[in-house]
Amino acid sequence: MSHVLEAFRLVFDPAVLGVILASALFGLFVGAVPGLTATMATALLVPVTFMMSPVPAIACMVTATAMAIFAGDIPGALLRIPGTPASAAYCDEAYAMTRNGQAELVLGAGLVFSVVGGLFGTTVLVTTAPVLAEVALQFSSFEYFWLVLLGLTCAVFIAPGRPLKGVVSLLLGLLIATVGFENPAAYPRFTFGSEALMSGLQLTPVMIGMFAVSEVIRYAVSRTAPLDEFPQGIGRIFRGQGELLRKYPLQVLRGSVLGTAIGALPGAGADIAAWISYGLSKRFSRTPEKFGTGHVEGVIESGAANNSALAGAWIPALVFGIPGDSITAIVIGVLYMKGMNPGPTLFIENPQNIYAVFIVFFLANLLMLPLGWIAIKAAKNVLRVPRSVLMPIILLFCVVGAFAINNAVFDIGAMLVFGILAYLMEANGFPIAPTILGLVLGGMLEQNLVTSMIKADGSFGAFFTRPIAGALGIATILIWLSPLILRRFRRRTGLREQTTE
Amino acid sequence: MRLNDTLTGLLLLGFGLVVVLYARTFPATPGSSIGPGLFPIVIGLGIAACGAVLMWSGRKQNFLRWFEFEARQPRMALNAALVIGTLIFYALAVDELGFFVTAFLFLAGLFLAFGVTRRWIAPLAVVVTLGLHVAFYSLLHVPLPWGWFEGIAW
Repeated sequence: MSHVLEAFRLVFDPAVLGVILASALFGLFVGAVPGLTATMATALLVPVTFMMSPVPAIACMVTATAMAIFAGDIPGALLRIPGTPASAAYCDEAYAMTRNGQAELVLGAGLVFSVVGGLFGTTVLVTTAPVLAEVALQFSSFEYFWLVLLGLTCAVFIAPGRPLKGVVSLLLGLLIATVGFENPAAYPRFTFGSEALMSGLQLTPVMIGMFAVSEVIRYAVSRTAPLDEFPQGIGRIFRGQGELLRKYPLQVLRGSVLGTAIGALPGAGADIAAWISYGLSKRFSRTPEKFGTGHVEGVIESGAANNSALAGAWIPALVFGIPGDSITAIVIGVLYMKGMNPGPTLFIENPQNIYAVFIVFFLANLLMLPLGWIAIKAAKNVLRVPRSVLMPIILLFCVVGAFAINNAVFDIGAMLVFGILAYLMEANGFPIAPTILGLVLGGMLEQNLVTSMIKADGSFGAFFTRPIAGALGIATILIWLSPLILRRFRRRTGLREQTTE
Repeated sequence: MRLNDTLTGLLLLGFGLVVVLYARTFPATPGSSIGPGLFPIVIGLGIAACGAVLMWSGRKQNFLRWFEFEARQPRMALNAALVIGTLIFYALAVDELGFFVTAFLFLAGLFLAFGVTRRWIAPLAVVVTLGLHVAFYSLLHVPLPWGWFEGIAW
């Protein structure tokens, strides 16, 4: 109990509350501006959190991402341009509602059900993470090896596009992770005599490059048209929300549950949760024909899903050190920097910090109501800031941020290289998330593989003899084989596989 | 920039094989069958295999178009080069010129290229440069180089 009190003391410190408020405003801004994503917000925050103690550093990221995912709904509803990819699924629907004169209703629904979804995901996080941590204490290198491999596998197969390209992305990430001498043999690999590469590539410049610099390059190459005309005046957004909750309780619950689960799966985050949720909502709706014409049902369900996914992603991140999405992949790096190494022992050694993270999650979601209301009211001005001004500022911010981690110009070069790489990858249909996941988890995968192989003394059977390891291993192998099995099944039933390209 | 899948596959196949060949030169760990090369070799083989499959599946694509650039106007392709060039300029110049001058030129150049109204460029660049300096140098204690302004450093 004293740990909980200590956690409250840590969070309700005036300086920490100030950080939460500032990052909330930052998150709302980033989310509301099209082209800037919640992941980018997190990457840009890493250098800022550098000087902070663990709790405000984590609070900063939790708050900013929660706000950004909600705020992405605002330009989606008003201009038909999603503020973040997580709002893309229901952007057309929301815009159709605005055109039907229901801007207040859809913006209010976006806000209220984001809060509901966020609180639901947080509750699941708070209740399941400590229980899972108990179980994880029993895990040996065999379980961890399979768990990491299963996580990476999910990342490949859930990512949009061809799984083959996802595999390439993942392998590139794993390869980048091998650079440096921090490996079981302590042999400097792929350093080519460079001192700067000895300790491996720093995660932060790579992340900033892949998530922020690539976005600026994309903007420079294909500048989008100037924003449309803005609808006049937004009235009372909370009117009628209670009625919606009474009318669609099942949808809210389904969206929240699905969002949390997808968030917890490695590699899939808020955007995929929203797409799947919107699809399910239409499928199970009593009035599927209304979807696409300005119907609030799908907006409610997927709006709840994307915010609950944020909290869900923290479950494997905190318990196993396996990120649930790109945002937690960055957060894990920050946790290591702050000495809060993720894993089950975190719950034993630093319970007050974990409780503080939980409290921040609740606080951020509750704070979303008043701040979100302000953001909607201020949307008109925020959306007027031209991207031609924003993008150079973001790029300079990236440069200074990448430099700040080690005060090394080398990191600016690394950031640039990975920014170009990410731009080229995305333009050619290679997803970015598996690369980041491979980069974050590569060391852990190799460490557990080598430890297990030494323990097993050359027998591969040992990877399956422990019950949990065996189950995880079989699950992983089945997912890898699933495309082959599916193909054979399709052939047998005489269906010709349709190529998408 | 979109590359033909066959070309991408070929590049990946070559890259994967180079990784494998290079990783084979890593010394074995004494007394253990698992050396530092094992993991990179497995990854390299994986990349090469994916490259081969990609080459095979891309064979039906139009061979005459090895790559295309999505920019609609040459100016936009130039803009992308400018973004990259500006970053290189910053990395090379910041120690000599200092943060103030480099950041100002960095911003002003990009504002100009992206079509910000002329009379706003200089004031905006000054305000943002000073703002970032306060945030990172004064608040976060990042040692941004002073360069030409060494004399007035605070």
